[in-house]
Amino acid sequence: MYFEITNKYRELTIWSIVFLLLLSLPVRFYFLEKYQSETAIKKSVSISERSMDILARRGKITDRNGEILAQDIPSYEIGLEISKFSFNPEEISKISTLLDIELRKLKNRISKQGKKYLILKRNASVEAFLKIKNQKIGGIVGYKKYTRAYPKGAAFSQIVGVVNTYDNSGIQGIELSLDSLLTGTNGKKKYLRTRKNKTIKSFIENPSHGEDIRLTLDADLQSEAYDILAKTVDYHNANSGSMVVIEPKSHEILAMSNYPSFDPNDRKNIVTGTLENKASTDLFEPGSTVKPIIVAAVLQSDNSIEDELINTSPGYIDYEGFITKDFKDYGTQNLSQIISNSSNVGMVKLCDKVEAEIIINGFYKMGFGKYMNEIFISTREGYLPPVNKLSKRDKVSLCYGYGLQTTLLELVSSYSILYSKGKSKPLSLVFSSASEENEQIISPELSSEEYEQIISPELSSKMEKMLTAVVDEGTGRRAKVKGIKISGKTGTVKKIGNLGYDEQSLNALFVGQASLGQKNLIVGVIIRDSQDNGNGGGDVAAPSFANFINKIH
Amino acid sequence: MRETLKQSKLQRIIFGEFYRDLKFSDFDLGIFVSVTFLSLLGIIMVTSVTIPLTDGSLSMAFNHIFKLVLGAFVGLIVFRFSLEIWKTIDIGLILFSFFLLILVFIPFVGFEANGASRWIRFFGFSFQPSELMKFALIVYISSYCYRRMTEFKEKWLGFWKPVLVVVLAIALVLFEPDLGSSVVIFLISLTIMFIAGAPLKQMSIILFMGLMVFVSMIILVPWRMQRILSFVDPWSAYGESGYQLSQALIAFSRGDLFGVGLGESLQKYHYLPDAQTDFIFAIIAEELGLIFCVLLISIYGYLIFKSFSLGRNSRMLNKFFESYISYGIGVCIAFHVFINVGVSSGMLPTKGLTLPFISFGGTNLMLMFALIALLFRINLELKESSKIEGKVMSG
Repeated sequence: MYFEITNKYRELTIWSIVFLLLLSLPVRFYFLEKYQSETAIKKSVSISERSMDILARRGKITDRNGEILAQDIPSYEIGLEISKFSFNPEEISKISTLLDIELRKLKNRISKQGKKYLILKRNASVEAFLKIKNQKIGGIVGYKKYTRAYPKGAAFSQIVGVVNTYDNSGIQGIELSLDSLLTGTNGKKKYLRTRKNKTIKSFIENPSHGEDIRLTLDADLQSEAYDILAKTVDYHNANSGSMVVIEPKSHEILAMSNYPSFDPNDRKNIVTGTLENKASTDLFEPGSTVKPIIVAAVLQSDNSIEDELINTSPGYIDYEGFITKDFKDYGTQNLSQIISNSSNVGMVKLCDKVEAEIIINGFYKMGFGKYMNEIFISTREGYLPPVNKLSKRDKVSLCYGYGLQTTLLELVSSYSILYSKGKSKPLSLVFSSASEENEQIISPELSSEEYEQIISPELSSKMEKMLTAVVDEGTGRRAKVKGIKISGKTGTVKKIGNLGYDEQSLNALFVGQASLGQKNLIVGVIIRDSQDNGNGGGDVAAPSFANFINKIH
Repeated sequence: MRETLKQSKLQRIIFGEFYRDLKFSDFDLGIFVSVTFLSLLGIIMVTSVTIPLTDGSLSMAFNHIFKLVLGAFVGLIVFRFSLEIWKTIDIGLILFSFFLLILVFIPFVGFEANGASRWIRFFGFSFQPSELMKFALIVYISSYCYRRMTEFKEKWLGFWKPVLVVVLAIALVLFEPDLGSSVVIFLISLTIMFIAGAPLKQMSIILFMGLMVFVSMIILVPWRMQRILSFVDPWSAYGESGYQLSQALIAFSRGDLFGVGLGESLQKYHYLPDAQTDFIFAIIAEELGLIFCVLLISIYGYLIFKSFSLGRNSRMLNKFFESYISYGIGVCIAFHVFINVGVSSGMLPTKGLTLPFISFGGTNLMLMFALIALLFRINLELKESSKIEGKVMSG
């Protein structure tokens, strides 16, 4: 029992079956593409592609004249592939001498079980690698890399900073704060290999090297400042010292040195505390150095007191239960003399009449307590007490520099207002980089309107005169340099110890300007905790200022 | 009404005796163009694949071109015989095929490669008799069904006689072993018998038996089972039986829609075994992309459509022998393509079968050209007879 179907339908059946089968193939392709492709490509890459990083060079850091402060130099990581090594004692001793590794240590490391690869030297020079390579010792391999070098050494350590030896990323200073700009993107060399391990093709993705950074620093000034600090700190047996040099017109930082420092090329012996840029992070009470600043702030708000004479006799004053002393009895003095002699009594009497708000606002306007985020290194803003909690006594203390805190950088920044016709502008440390998109972040190019007029130009020149008097006939006499117009202000401040003010531990300060022909320089010096040969601003800081100007002019 | 014999000498030498010179239009243009396209693609792809295998030399590529020429020559010989002659020599042809198929197992004549004895060698040439068997069976079964149409349809013995021949052929091919070719032979025979009006009851018995044999061949032979399992998940058997398929899938994936570019295949660098023969489609997919692959399958589809149409037209003119042969040729090409592409794309378990006109391998090229020559001959004769009978062909 079967039913007959005609030829026509039988043919139709065959047609349909065959074409359905053919049609199933593209459908299969679709599913293949959708579900297998990813696995397949992964597998393919894992078996036939090899890739090697092409290291990107980290950007250079230079000073304003293009002198290199930090740069990548090619080096080699020299390693040993244990499986290819002969363990020949002769070869071991060759490695030991060529790479300067103790023979006993080397033997120990090589004979350790279970290691496939041994790093012999992380940062070998190109020459050193070529030397050992020419010995044709089996298993010796070298991987090209970059090592960061700091040709200018310790004088720049805290500003330029350092990188991690492991991956060359910044961990301090400009190296850290501008790490994203300095770091390039590694390229890749990809190899496509046959099953028999021959390279068919290689593709190169070029690395994009990091950007170069140009600092406003002047390498010569920076090194000089460092030398002066070193001599001063050693001579006075001080704890440490910092110096900041800026150019008042452009507000560019030309030097910012700290002593003691560390050698960025050899970091085995870094002493804690030398890493930080104390010029911008170390807070201290500014003492007498704020006197011209507060006088300027007061005069700006009320110039009626300009010609006032203040009787400072008998050389001390009991104000609100605390006694404030002068060095000696200066008698009746005008404002310039108060500053010149650094009379605390004069300042107390002057500020007694001024409202607390004017004083605090004056400090703030002159740059105290403001965060200097434009400077791309770690900085701390100073401390100003809040107005509403200020007692009368606190108020007058502020006027001779106690009860507030600042950094050397902030202090110098504040003096730059006095020295640049009363205009304020953030200090800068970095010139705009080559890349346009980053330009604005790095160096806010302020147009003239962006200068903020803090005190009047007239007042500014009056203040300058007062500061000249300090050097000519006041406490800053030792800052004098023959033939150069010098002005400035000293400060000697008790440091806060564990039990309040420590009479034996002083900060010696001098901030001033030297007019060197076309160029003026504002220099701030702090020498902390001098023990021998004097300890005050006049006999420690002012001479080092003079030494510095003498050296560079 | 027949024109007087006017045929140039050259034509007589090339095409055999006709009453007139053959014109280009006497050959089916569609078939001609698609076969030419496929053959040229074959030359390009074989060249691309074999350069890495021969370390840059073109020796295998030239070998392939030589075999194409040889194939075309075989085609020309086949074309010379009129269909009347094929009708009469079918039994001789099948006996000759059996003879060669047995030779495979004779030492010194037949030889073994990769654990299979599929080849015989003479005068330095190797030859695969199973390919001849495909041709012979198409001719034989078509002829048998035509000659003994009523007996075949109605008598029990009339049906089982050709089946016995097929079973014998399949048994021999399976014994080589060459499961792929046996499947193709089985399907060709089945199709022709079905078209020729075989009783459905018997047909289903055969189909069932065939399936049983197929399944038992897989279950009984361990490495086949392995292949089946690794076909389901090639990645888990990557290091062993799944390796070839995995590499083929990688080729497909690398190629994506538009291919990595001609000559740019990675898989041909010793990753994909048999890249020039059974797995050449994977390399095509890699170099030219899946869109091109679909186009390629459409061209095969067109060729198959052409031969099926010829079968249909022949049947309408009551030329049943020609009709059966045409269908046989169509499915022969179709199953070769389907199984080859299906295998290399991982839709079917791994079977060694060539891609018609493209794969490296002489015997299969000869078979394909012989089949195409038959189609040309059928087309020509059909045209002539419809002219004579004054009928207008309708498609």
